[in-house]
Amino acid sequence: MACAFFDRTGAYLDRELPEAERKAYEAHLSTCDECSRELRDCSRLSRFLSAAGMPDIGRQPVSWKAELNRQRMVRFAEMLMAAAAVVMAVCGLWLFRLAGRPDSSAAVAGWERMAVTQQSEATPPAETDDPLAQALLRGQP
Amino acid sequence: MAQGTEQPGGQPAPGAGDPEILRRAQAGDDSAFEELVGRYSKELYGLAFFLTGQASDAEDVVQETLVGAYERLAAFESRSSVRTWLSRILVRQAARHHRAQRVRRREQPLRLTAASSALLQGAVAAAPATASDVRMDVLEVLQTLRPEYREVVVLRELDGMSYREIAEVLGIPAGTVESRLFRARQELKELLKDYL
Repeated sequence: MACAFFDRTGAYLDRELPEAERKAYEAHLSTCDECSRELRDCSRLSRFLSAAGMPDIGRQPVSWKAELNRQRMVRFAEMLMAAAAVVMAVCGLWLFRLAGRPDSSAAVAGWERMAVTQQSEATPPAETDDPLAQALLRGQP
Repeated sequence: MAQGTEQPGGQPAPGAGDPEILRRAQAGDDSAFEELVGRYSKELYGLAFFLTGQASDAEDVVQETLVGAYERLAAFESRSSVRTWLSRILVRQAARHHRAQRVRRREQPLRLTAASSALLQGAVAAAPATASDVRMDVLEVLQTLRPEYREVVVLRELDGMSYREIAEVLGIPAGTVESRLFRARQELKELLKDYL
């Protein structure tokens, strides 16, 4: 492809060349078979492509509002899920830290001891209980 | 297409021009946005149809385009026309669709209908009854092009945009539009060499 005008054929066909270049291209055409052939082929190609025209729209009116609402619902659901994930993560972290605290078992054991003590005081031994059980409940040997 | 004076497909549009309707839409008037949708939906659908190659994909792309446009209404500063702005959003949405697709390489030789063949051999126009045949042939031919070549061909040959408008839509220099069109036409000529 030696001709310098060859690759400007499309721009000439599309009326995109400035005036001076357009005149130079037209003057060149009468002397160059290669560019004349290129112009003919590009014109035919262009006619074929533009003959397709625009197809009829599938449905009218385009349901962009339904799509907008759908996208907004999806975004809202995503935000809710993200918020739920954050809450779960924070709760999980809090429970993990609580379980790993060194005095937590002592605190629970103390609470349990207090409950057992209160229960022992609240249920005095009955006369019908076994003597050994009565002794244990009173705390006497 | 003169701004706001024609509807897509060449139908005249009565009433106000795009800038006025756009101002109303930006002020929160949904019926004004609906008016813009009415003006451009056919053209947008046509672009999407040829860019994606599927009617169902085209509908999805147009819907996503209009949703995107609605949500970005406030940010639109009218530095380009409404048509260019909508086309830019649509081309990006279509690119998301065809990014997943590979260029279809033909395994069998292309067989065009008589109407298409006649156009490529020099007929001036196709008979109206054969328009859908030609459309299907064009669709098949376009799918063999790389997406960046398909975009410039569709915007230029089917939508009739100037190089400057195509450059605005694609965000590339006008010189790149010309070179992409040149390469796309060379590929198409090679594909259709038996008919030219």
